[in-house]
Amino acid sequence: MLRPEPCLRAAEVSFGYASLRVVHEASLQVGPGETVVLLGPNGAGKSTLVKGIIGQLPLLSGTLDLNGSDISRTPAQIRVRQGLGYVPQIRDVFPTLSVWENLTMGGYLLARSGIKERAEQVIGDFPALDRLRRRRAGTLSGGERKMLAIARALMAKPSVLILDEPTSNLAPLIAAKVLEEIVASLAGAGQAVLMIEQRVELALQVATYGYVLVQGQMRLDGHAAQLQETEDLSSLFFSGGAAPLHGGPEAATRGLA
Amino acid sequence: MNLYIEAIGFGVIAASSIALGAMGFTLQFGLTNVLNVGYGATMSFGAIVAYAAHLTGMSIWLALICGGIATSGLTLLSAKTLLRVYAKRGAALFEMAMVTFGIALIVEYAIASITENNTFSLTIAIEHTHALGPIRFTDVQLALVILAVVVFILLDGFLRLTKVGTALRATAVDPDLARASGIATGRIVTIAWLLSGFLCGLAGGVFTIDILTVNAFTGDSLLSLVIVAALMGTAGSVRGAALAALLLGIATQLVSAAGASGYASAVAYGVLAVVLLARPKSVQGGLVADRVQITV
Repeated sequence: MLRPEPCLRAAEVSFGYASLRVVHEASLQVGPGETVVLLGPNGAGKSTLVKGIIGQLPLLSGTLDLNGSDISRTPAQIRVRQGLGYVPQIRDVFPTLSVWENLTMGGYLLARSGIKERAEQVIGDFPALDRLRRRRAGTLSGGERKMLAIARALMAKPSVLILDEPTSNLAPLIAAKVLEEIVASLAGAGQAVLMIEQRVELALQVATYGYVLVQGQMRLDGHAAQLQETEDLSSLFFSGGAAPLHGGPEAATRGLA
Repeated sequence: MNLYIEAIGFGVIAASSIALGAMGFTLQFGLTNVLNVGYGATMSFGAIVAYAAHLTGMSIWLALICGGIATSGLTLLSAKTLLRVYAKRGAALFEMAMVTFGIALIVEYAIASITENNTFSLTIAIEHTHALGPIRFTDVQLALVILAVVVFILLDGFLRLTKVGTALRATAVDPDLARASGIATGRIVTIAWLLSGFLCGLAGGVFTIDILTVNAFTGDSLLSLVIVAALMGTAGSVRGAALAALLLGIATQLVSAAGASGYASAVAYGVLAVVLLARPKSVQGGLVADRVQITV
C-alpha cells in the first residue's frame, strides 16, 4: 500500500535536553489523510521527538521538512504559521477562557474578519461544542475538553495536526470515543495526523501507519494493520527496548512496509 | 453613624487609586510572574512626572496622562533591560522580586536627589461640593472615582472583547500553549508591561490628587494596599483587583473612622491573610497551577 506524498518529514532527527541526547536519528513522515501513530514504552522519547518537531526543543542533527520547506531552524511560532498544529497531552486548553475564546485563540493567526467564520465551521465539525460556547474550558468534562483542544488546534487549518496522547487521563469509553470518532474523522477529512498514544491496540485500529520508538531510536515502522499482526510488538514494549526487533536500529529505515 | 457612612464615601474615593494600581499590578504579575515590589517607586515616578507636568501649566488631567505614559516607558525599559538579564540567567520568583526592589531604590533615590528630597503640595481649585446624604465630595474627588470606573470598564472590555486582550489572558494562563497557538507571546508581554506601567503611573497621579502632596516615596504608602488588593482579587484578575480595591478602600476608611487609623494597613493584611487561608491559589501568578515561569 503506497503512502501519500508527505507534508511532514523528519529525516534522521536527534533531539534532547542540554547535553542529554534523547532521540537518536529518528525518521518519520506523515501525509494528507494519514493518521500516523507513534508508539513506544514510557521514557522512549516520544514526547521529546514531538517537542522537537513543533520547535520547543532545538534540532541537534537531521532535517525537518514541512510542506516541502525546511523548518529545521524555524521558531515554534512560525512553524504554527506554516501549518503545524499541536495538542499537548496536558494543559491543552486555556481553562479560564470560554470555549469560544479558546477557539478564537486557536485562530489567532487568521485574519480578524475570518476568525468568527472559521470558529463556526469548526463548531459545525464538533457540534457538541455548540451548546458549550460560553462555558469556561476549565469546567468541561475530559472528553469535551479534548474535543475543544483538537478543535482549537484545527482553527488555524494546520496541514499536520500533532496529538500528544489524546486519551491520557480519559476513561476507557471516552478514550475510545475520542480515537474512533474524533481522530478517525480527521483523517477521513484529509487531515494529516501524527499522534502519540499509549493505548496501542485502540490506536492501531484508528491509525493508518505506525512507528515504534524505543530508547530514543525508531525500531519499527509499518502500516497499522501489519503492526497489529506483529507478535513481538508487546515484547518490545515490556522489554523496555532492551531487545531490538528485526535487527536493531536498522529496522527503522527498513520498516515493515 | 454618619461618621461611618461618610467613611464609606471616603473609602470609595481612596479605592480609585488603589484600584488603578491593583489593576496594573495584577496584569503585570499575572502575565510575567514578576512580583514587582518596586511598584511603589514607579507609582512615585508617575506622580512626580504628573506633578511636574502640571507645574508647566498643563491641566491636571492631561498631566495624569503624561505621568502614565512616562511610567509606562520606565516600566518597559526596566523590564527589557535589568529584569530580562536576570530572567535569562534563570532567576526565580524571589530573586526577581529582589531585582525589582533594587530598581525601586534606584528610581526613588534618583527622584529624591533631583527633587532634593522635598515634599510638594498640590493645589487644585474646588469649584463645587456635592452631597449624597451625609457623604460629601468635591468635583475633583468625583472625577477621580469616575476616572477609575472608566479605566476599569475600558480595560475589562479590552481584555474580554478584543483579540489582543484575549491573547493577553491566554498568555497569562499558559504561555506555552499560547505560543503553540501562534500567539506572539513576546509582543503580548510587551503590551502587558506598557499597559501595567501606564496604570501604575496613573495610580500614583490619582493618589497625589487625592492626598494633595507628592514626594519621592509617595507610592510606597499606597503599595501595600495595591498588592493586597491584587492578591485578594486573584493574581491576573482585573475584575477581582477592582472589587478587592473597593472593599479595602472602604475597610481602611472605616477603621480610621473608628479612631484606629494607625491600624488601617494592618486591617488590609488581616483581610489578605483570611483570603489566602480560604483561597491559597490567589497568589499564583499567571494562574498556572504547577510552575512559575518568569516571562519578560
